[in-house]
Amino acid sequence: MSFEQNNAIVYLVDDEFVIRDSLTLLIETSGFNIQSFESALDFLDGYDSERPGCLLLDVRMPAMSGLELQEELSKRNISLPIIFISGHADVADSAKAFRAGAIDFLEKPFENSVLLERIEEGINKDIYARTQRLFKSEIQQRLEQLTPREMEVLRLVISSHSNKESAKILKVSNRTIDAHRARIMEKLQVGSLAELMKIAMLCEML
Amino acid sequence: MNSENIHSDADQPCSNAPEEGAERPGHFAAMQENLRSPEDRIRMLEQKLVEQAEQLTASNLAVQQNIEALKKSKQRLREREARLNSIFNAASEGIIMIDRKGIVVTANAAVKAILGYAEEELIGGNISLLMAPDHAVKHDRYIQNHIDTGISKIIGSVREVEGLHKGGWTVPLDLSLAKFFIDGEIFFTGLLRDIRQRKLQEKENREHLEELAHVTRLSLMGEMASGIAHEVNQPLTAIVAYTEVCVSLLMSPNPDHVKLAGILAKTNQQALRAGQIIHRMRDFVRSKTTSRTSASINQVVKDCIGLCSTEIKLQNILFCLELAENLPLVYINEVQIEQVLLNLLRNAIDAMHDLPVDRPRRLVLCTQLDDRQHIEITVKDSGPGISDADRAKIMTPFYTTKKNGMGMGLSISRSLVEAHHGTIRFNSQDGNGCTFYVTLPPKELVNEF
Repeated sequence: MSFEQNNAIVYLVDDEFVIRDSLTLLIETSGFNIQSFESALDFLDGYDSERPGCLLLDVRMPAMSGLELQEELSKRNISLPIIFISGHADVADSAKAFRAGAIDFLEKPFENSVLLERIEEGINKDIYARTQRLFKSEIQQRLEQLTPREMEVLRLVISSHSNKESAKILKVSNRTIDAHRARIMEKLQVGSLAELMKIAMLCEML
Repeated sequence: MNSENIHSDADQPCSNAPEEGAERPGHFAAMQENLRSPEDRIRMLEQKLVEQAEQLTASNLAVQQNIEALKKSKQRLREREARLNSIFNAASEGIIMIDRKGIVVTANAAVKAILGYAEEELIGGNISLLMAPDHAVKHDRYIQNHIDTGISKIIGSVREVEGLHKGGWTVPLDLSLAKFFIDGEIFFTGLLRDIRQRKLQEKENREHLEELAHVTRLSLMGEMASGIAHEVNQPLTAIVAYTEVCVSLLMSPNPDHVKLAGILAKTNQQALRAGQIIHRMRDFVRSKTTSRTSASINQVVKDCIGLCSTEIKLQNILFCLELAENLPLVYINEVQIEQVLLNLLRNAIDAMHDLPVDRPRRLVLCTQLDDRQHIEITVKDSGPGISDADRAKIMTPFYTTKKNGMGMGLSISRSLVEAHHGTIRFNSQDGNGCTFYVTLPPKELVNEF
């Protein structure tokens, strides 16, 4: 396990004590950190957005149901991967859950191996998403260091214009374009056009 | 009646005649002294003879008339006796008279038809011959008790008893008893009516109700299936997780036995819990329900709640249970009463399903004793209540206010409660919730019905 995986936490929200008790034991025994909550509202209070993890969520609960919590998290821009666990499979419920991005919809009782696989999958997904977000915000910071002229050149380069074409469009010499490109690569900390394209794609510039 | 009697009757006036004559000789002798001529005396004698003959003829006529009157009254008595006899023997009810010792004095023809014994087989024998053994041994004591105390539960009322047929089988009977006295000696007359036909009808009605109840129970269970599946899946989920943990612990180099035992105990509990739910459900959908038994109404209520607690929880209903302690036992078919209560709970839950979020969802279930010392179960919800239009109709079969309802719930509930000598009623105002009241007699009062 990587550092992130060790730091990751499985949140469990189920209104029934035995489910929290048994799954807590199981998940702990399997080497994960786990924190359980009796209700959706308790979870919203106790959730630590700094740590990667995933959410094991009962569908039917009094006060706020699992599906309502999923909606609420989406409103709050919390992209925690969710694995639903349900006492009985309801097609409408599961369709709604999947549309809203749930990893899985497990019907109780489920095989522990499947649950643990999904938990691992969820945690990895969160870690990856967090890495991506982190990387993206770093790139964003680098992009902000570019001058308006350099941004113009960058846009032309990533939309497959050659130096010559770019020079013509911007009515500057080829050498000036060369100089801009070198500055851009330096500021964005990339070594090749391919890497530049990857960043552009990540930042949805394409 | 025979001719000898008529003769002896006729003898009586004749034996009186000499006495009348005995008075006359004195009077006759006095007259004789005043008469001298023999002719006169003969004439007088002749005259007297004629007079006496006339008197005798007249009294003879009177006697004749008396005899005729007596004959007629005898005849009327015979006719009356014959008429009464014909009624006695033509009655479809068995009639048996017994003395203070329980010895049969007379029995009519219907007794043979009902119980197989002819009159001559019964007369002189004890009436307990016609009773099931457990009753027979006590019967002499019943009579003696009645004679000693004058108290009887049965005289003047009709009661169902079981008679013992000559062939050895029992026959259900309606028995009414009267007592009468001859020369200060007490006698009892019993009227027996064969109620096999009525019993059969009652049995058919009961079976019909039972079948109907079963069908509605199945449908009720269908409506509740998802809630119950959820209820069973919870312990199963826990068991699967607990056992997996146990396996992991056992595979570790130094298994923690105390921890293992703790987890296994929890597993055990959850398995039992799942079993109980299944058991309750199976009992509930069984077609042949057990006969009536003594039961604690609070236990029945708790069993019901076990089948719908998930539903109550998921619908965010605040549930309040108020069970009175020390309630007398009831004598019921548990499954049927459970069905009635579950149906009321189900209706209450459904009624609150579409309430706006800000309206309270409250469900109160109470048990208590009412003014008549009967047990009352109250189911109260905070739903929209029953509209004026629906109020008169909700107890009728096939009337429903639910989208997928069958309309049998309340009507079958009423039949079931009434079959238990109980009542069901409700109190509801449009927009203001609804309360249903079910009453059941305590076990010790059931025998009086």
